Amino acid sequence: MSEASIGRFSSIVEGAEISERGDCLREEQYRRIAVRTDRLFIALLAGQWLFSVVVALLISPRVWVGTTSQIHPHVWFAVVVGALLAVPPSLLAWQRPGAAITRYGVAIAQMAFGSLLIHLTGGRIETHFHVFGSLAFLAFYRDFRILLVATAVVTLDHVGRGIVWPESVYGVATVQPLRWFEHAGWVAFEDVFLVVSCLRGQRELTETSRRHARLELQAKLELRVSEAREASRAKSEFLANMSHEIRTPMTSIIGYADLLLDPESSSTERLAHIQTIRRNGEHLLTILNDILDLSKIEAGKMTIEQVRCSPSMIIVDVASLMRVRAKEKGLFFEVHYQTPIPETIQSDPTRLRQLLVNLVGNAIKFTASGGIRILARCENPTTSSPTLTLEVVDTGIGLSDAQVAQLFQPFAQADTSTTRRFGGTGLGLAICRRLAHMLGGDISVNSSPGRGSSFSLTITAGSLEDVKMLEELHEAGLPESEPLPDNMGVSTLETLDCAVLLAEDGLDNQLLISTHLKRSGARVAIAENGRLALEMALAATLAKEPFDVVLMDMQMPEMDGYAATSELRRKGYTGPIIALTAHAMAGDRERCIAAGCTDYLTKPIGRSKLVAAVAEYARQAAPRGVPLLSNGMVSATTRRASPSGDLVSELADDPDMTELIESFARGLPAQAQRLEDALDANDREAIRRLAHQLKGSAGGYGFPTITEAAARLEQVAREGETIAQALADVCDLCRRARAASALPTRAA
Amino acid sequence: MSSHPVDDQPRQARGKARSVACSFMFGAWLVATVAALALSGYASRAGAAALAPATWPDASKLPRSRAQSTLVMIAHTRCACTRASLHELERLMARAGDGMTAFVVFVGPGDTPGARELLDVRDTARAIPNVRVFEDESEARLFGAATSGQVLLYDEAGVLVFRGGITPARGHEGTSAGGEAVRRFMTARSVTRAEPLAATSPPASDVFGCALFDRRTP
Repeated sequence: MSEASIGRFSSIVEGAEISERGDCLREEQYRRIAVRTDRLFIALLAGQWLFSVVVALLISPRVWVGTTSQIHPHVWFAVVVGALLAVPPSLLAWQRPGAAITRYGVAIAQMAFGSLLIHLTGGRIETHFHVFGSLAFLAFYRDFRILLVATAVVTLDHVGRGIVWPESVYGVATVQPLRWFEHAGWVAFEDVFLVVSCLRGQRELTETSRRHARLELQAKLELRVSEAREASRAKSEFLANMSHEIRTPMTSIIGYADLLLDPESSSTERLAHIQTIRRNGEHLLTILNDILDLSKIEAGKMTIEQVRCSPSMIIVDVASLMRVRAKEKGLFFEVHYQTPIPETIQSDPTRLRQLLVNLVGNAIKFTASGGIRILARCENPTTSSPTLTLEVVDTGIGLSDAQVAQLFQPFAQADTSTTRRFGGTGLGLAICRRLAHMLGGDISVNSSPGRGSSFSLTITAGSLEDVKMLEELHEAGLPESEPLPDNMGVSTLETLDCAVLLAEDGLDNQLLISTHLKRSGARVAIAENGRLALEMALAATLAKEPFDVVLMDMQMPEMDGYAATSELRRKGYTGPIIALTAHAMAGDRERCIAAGCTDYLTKPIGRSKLVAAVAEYARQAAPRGVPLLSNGMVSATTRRASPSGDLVSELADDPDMTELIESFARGLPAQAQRLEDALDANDREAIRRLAHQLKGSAGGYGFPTITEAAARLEQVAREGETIAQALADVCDLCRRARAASALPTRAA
Repeated sequence: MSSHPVDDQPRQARGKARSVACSFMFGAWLVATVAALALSGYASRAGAAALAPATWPDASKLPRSRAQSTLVMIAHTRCACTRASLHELERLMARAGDGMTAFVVFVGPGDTPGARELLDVRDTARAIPNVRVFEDESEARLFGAATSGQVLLYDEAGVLVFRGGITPARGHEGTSAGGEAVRRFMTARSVTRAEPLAATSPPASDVFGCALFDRRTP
C-alpha cells in the first residue's frame, strides 16, 4: 500500500469514523459513570435509611403515658418511609444500572430523604444542608436534568408541606408565604454551579472520548497498514517462490524443446530430450496442482466430505501403491495396527488417502536405506470424540529442530539443496497440515537428523458406536502386500469406434486431442468455435449421423462452450457433451453441468483419461449407423486443393504433422519480414540470431531447403560478408512455403 | 416520518418498563406523603388540658413570688416534646428577665443511665435563668396537669392568668398561641403593672406532649 493511499485512507477513517466511534466511547464511558454513581447511591440510600432511623431514635425514641411508653411514631415513620425511599431506587440501580430511569428514581428518593430528615429533626435549618449535599452527590451523574428534577422535588416539598404543615419543614407554625421561594432560590443558586459543572464534565467526556477514538482508530489503521504490508510481502514472496518453482521446469522444457529443434540431434538424443520435457512437464503439473490445492484451502473453497469410510481400506490402498516405490529403492515397507482400528470412520476418504500418500511418499523420498512403517492406532474409541492416528515412521535423513519449525510453511523445504536433491514443490506438507485441520486433527513431527522422522497424522473419527473394531490388518478383507496394478500405461487404453466432435479453438490442442482420439480409433471432426460446433452437431443429427460424443472447450471465440452447450440442449440435443476447460476451481464443474454438459475434464488432459471418458460416453450413446466421418481428421475450415511445389514439406504426408506444418508455414512470412527489417536497420546480430532460429526449426517441419538457406545466411552474417542475397533467398523460400501450405494438400 | 416497526419494539418495551418504574416510584412517594400527613395529624393532636385551680393552691410547696407573676411548667422527664417546651420557656424567660419566676415540675419514671445520657432535660431546665426545678408528682396533681408541657401562669396575687402549652405541635418549637399569650401578658403587665387582670376566664391554649400520668391512675 502506498503512503499516499495510506494517507487518504487515514483521512477518510478520521473523518467518518472518529465521530461515530467517539460517540460510542462517550456513551460507554457515560454509562460506566452512571453505573458507578448508581452503586454509590445504593450505599448512600441505605445509609440514609439507617441514619434517619437513628435520628428518630435519638430525638424521639418513645412516646410516654406516665410511666409507660411505646415506640414513637417518628421511629416507625423513619423505618417505613425510609424503606419506601431507599428500596425502589436501589432495586432499579441493581437491575438497571446506568439506565436513565434509575438516575431519576435515585434523584427523587435522595431529595425525599432530605425532606424526611428535615421533618425528623423538627425542621432544623441544619438539616436543610442535606439538600445541598444531595445535589452535589447527584452531580456525579454529570446530567443536569437530574439536578433539575431534584430541585423540582425540593421545591414542591417545601411548597406543599409549607402549606399543610410548615413546622415539619420550616420548624415554625407560621411562615411567610414565599418562604419556599427563599429555600428554592438557594437550591437554584447551587444548581447554577452544579449544572455548569455537569455541562463542562460532559464536554470533557466528549473530548476525551474523541481523543480515545482517534488513538484507537489510529492504532487500528496502523494494524491494517501493517497487515496490508505483511499480506503484500507474503504475496510477493509467494509469487517469487511460485515464479521460481514454475520457471525451473519451464526452463528445462523450453531448453530441451530448443534442442529438439536442432536437426543435428540424433533420434536417441531426441528421445532423451522428450523424456526430460515430459518429466519436467509432469513436475510443473504437480506444482500447479499443489498451488491450486493450497489456494483452494486458503480461499476456503476446499470442501471436505464427511462419509463413512474404511481407514483399513485406505491404508491398504496406499500401502499397495507405495510399496512398489519403496521396493524400487530397496526399502522395507510395513503396516502395523497398534490398537484395534474401527472398520469405518466418519471422514473424507479422498483427503485421508491424499494425506497418507503424501506422508508415505515423503518418507520414501527421504529414505536411502532401511524402510518405512505405517503405525495405525485408534484413541479414545469409547468416548464421544475418538481419534485415528496414522504414524509414518522412516529411517531417512531426518530433520533438525529448525527445519521442523518451518516444515509446514509453503515452499519451505528443509533447505534449498533439498529441492535440488529430492525434488518436490515444498507445498505438500503445507497442504497436508491444512487438510489435517479440515479433518479435525493435526500433523506432528518427531525427528532428529540422521535418525529418521516420524510424522503423526491425527484426525477425528466420528462416532464409533456399534462400529466393529478390527484387530488385524487382514480383517479388512484386503491383501496387505499386493501392489495395485499400474494401469497408467498406454497399453491399457481402450479402442474407440465412435464419432467425436471436437470443439476447440487452439490449434495445438486440436492436434493433440484429435491425435489421441484417432490413434484409439475414433473419427474426429473439429470445430474452431462454439457456433461451428453447434451447427455441425445439429447438422449431423439432422442427417441421422449424430456424433457419439461432443468434446466442448468452454473458452472459445465467437460463441463459447457454455453458450453452445446451452443452445444445443435448448434445441433438444441429447448426446453426451464433455466439457474441456483449463479452469479447475471449485464451482467450475457445477457451472459446466448447469450449462448442460454431461461431464467435465480439466486440461491438460491425459490420453488415458480422455480416451476412457470418450469410450464411456460413446458406449452410453445410442448405436450409430453409418459413421459420420472417415477415420481421419477433417477440419471444419475450408480447404483448397493442394498443388505440388518445391517447398512442400517433406512431412506433408504425415497426417499427424499437417496442422503443425501449416501453423509453422503461416508464421514464415512474418519471420521473413523480421529479417528484412533487421537488414534495413543493418542489425547483423539480429539477422544472425533469426537465421539461426530458422535453421533449427525449418528442418523439423520438413523444409530442408529453408534450413540450408538459413544456415548460409547465418554464416555470412557471422562472418561479415554481404548478406543481401542470402537474406533474399531465405525470404523467398519462406513466402513460397507459406503459399504452398495455404493450398489444400490432401482431399478429405 | 414513520418509524420501522421492528425498531419500535424495544422502544415500546423500554417505555413500558419506564412507566412501570415511574408508577412504582410515584406510589412510594404517595405512601410516604400520606404517612407524613398522618404523622402531622399525630403531631398536631393536643393532649388533655389541665384542670388547673383558678388560684394558687395552698397545699403547694412551690415558693410562689408575691411580687411578680409565677409560671409553672409541668413536664415529663422522658417525653420527646419536653425539650421543645423547655426551649420555648427559655425564650420566654429571656424576654421576661427578672420580672417573672418560673418553676418546672418534672414527672416521670425513674431514670436509667442510658436515658439520662441521652436526654437530661433537668439540666436544660436548671440552666434557664430564674427557673427552679422540682420533681414532685403531687405538685403536678395539685395543679391539675395531665399533659407534659403544661404551663400555668399566676399573677402576683396568685390568680391563674393563663393555662396551656407553649409549643405549636408535639416536639416542635416555634411560634405558638400559648407562647404568644404569655408574651402578651408580660407586655401588658409591664405597661399596666398596677392593674390586676381578670382571673375569671384566663386565656388557654392546647398542650402538645406526652401524658403525665398512667391511664389507670386516677
